[in-house]
Amino acid sequence: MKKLFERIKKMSKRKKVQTVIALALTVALCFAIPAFSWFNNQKKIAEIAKIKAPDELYINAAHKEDVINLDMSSINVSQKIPNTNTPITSQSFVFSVSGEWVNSFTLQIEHTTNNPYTYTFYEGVIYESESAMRAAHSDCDTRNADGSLKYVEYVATNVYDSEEMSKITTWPDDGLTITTGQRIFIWIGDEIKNMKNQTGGYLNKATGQRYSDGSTLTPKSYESGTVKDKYADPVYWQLKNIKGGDTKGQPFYKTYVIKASWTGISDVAEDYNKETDIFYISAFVE
Amino acid sequence: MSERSVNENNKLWEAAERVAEKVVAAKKAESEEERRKQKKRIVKLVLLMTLIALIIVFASIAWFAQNKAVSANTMAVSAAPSPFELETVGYANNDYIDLFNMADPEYEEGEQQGSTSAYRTGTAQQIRWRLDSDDDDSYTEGFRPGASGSLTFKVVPKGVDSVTVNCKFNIRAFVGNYNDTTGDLESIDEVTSATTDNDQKDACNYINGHILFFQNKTTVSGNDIYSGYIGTNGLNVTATGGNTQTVTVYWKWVNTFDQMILKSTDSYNDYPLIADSGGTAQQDRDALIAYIKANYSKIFSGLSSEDQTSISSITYDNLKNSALLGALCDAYNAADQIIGVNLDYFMLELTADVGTSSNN
Repeated sequence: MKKLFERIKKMSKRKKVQTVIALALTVALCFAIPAFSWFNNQKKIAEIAKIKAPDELYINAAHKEDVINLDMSSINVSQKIPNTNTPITSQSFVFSVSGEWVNSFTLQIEHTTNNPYTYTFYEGVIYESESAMRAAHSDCDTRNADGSLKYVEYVATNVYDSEEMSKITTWPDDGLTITTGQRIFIWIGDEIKNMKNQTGGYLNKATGQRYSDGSTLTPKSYESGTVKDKYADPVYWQLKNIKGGDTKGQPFYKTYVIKASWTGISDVAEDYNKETDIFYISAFVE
Repeated sequence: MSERSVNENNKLWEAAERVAEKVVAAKKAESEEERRKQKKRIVKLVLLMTLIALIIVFASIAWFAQNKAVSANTMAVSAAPSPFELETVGYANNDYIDLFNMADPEYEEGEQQGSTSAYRTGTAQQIRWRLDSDDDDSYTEGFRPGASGSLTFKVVPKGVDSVTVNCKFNIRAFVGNYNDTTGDLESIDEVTSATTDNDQKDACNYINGHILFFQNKTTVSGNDIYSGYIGTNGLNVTATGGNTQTVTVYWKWVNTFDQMILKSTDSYNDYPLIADSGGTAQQDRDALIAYIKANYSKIFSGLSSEDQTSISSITYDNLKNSALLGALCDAYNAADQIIGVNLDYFMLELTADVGTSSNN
C-alpha cells in the first residue's frame, strides 16, 4: 500500500489526471447499471387541473359602495323627456365589481323575464362632479335614440360593506374625492367587452326572444327539468375573461351600467306594475 | 620505494572509486527503469479495468435492449423490462394535453390498447392520467376546497407472476403566466424549493397537506363518507397471478378542518368525512389525528406557538368541543386562502414502485 502511494506520488501530473478520470468513469458506470434498473421499476401517472382562486370579488353599488344602494326596484316606464311628449324608453343602474386582484373574471347576470325588458351591460366611468364629466365629454346634452341621457347620476353615501372592506385595506388611488351626499356622474361607455374584445350574450335565450329556451339550462334551474311558467325560468347572460385589476397584486374596482330598455309598453304600464323579476349579478373567477 | 608505493596506492584508490561510482550509477539507472516499468503496468491495469467495466455495461444494455427497437438516447432507461405497467382509461382533450406539455412535458400519452380508450405506460416511464366523467364532476368550475374526485388506474403485471407495487401520491403546484392583454395562459412555472416567493412555497406545502386519499367512498343521506385512509406510506396494490388489478382511489380536499375529525353527533360537525363508527372508522380517525400531529405545518397557517404545542396532545375526545378546534379551523381556512391566492394549477402524481411500504 505504501509503495502504491509512493508510485502515485511519483506519477506525472498528466498521468495522475488520466488515472483519476479512468477511475471516476469506472465507478460511475458501475453505479449506472443499478440506477437504470431502479428507474425501470418505477412508473408514474398524473393528472393536472386548474385551482380555483377564492372568490374575493364583490358586487357593489357605484363607487364600490355597499350593494344595498343598488336599487332596481322602481323602473319608471312612463318617463318623458322634460318639456316634451317624447317617452324615455330605458333606465340605467350602476354597479361595480371590486375585490382582490385577479387576472380576469366572469360576469354573469341571471334574471327572470316577467317584465318585457331588454338588458344591456355597459362599462362606466365615474366623475366626481358634473363639471368634470362635461370637461371630458362635449356631448353630455345629446340624448340617446331612446331618449335617455348618456350618463347616470348617483348620490354617494360612502356606506361600504364593512366585512368586504375589512378584507381589502389597500385600494389603489382612483383620484376621486367623494363626500357623503355628493352627486357623482357615471358616463355610460361601450358595451362590456372582455380581453378578447368579445361582448357577452345569453346562454339560454335566442336573440330577440324574451324568455328562456326551456332546455339548455332549465334542467339545472329546476330539478324535475320542467317549468310551468316560462317567464319564471331564468335566463343567463355571461361574459368570460373580463380584465381584472390593472396592477398585478393590487385590489381593484370596475364600474358597470345595466340598462333596462323597453318598447311600446309605456301606455300600458299599469299592466306591469305588479310584475316582479329576480335579478342576480355575480362575478367569479374561473 | 616507499614514495612510489604511496603514489601507486593513491592511483589504485582513485581507480577503485571510479569503478564504484560506475557501478552505483548503473544500479541507479536500473532501478529508474524498473520504476518506469511499474508505472506503465499500473496505467495498463487501470485502463484494462475500465475496458472490462465498459464491456460489462454495454453487454448488459445490449441484453436489456435486444428485444426492443428504440432510439439510442432512451434505450437504457425505457427499454429494460419492467415487471408491471400502469393503465388508465378515459379521455384527454387538447387543453389537458397542452397543460401537461407546459407543466411537465416528460409525461407522455402512453401506448393505446387497440382502438380502446385504454392507455398503458408501455416503454414510457410516466404517462398522463386519462379522465372520465366521474373524475372532474365535483370541480367543473375549478379545483377548490370541498372538491373531490376519484381516480382509477390498473396495475398490469408483465408476466404470469404476482406483482406488488406501492403507490404514493404527491401534489405538484404551478403558477401560470398570463398574457397581460389577452389573458391567455402562456407558460406554467412549477413551485419548487428554488422558488423565491415564500407564499407560493407555503401554498404548495398546504395543498399537499389538505388533500386526503381514501380507498372507499359511500354515500349516506346524500353525503359522501370515506373509509380506508391512505396515509403517507401510500397504498400497496397486488396484482395476483399475472392478472390486471383495477384500483380506484378517492381524493378529497376537505372543506373545513372539523370534517376530518368530528362525528355527525358532535355539536360543531359539518358533514364529517368519516363514519361515526363501524368499519374502519375508528382506525381512519386515529390515522388522521396522527397525520395532523405529524404534519400540522402542512395543514395550518398562522397558528400560535401555544396551539402548535397543543396539537401534539390532541385526541378526538379532547378536541371535539375545545377552543383549539376553532383556532385550527381558522388556521386551516387561512391555509386554503393561501393556496387559492398563490397557485394556479396542481398536478396529482401517483408514483408506483415495485415492493411494499409498511403501515398500510
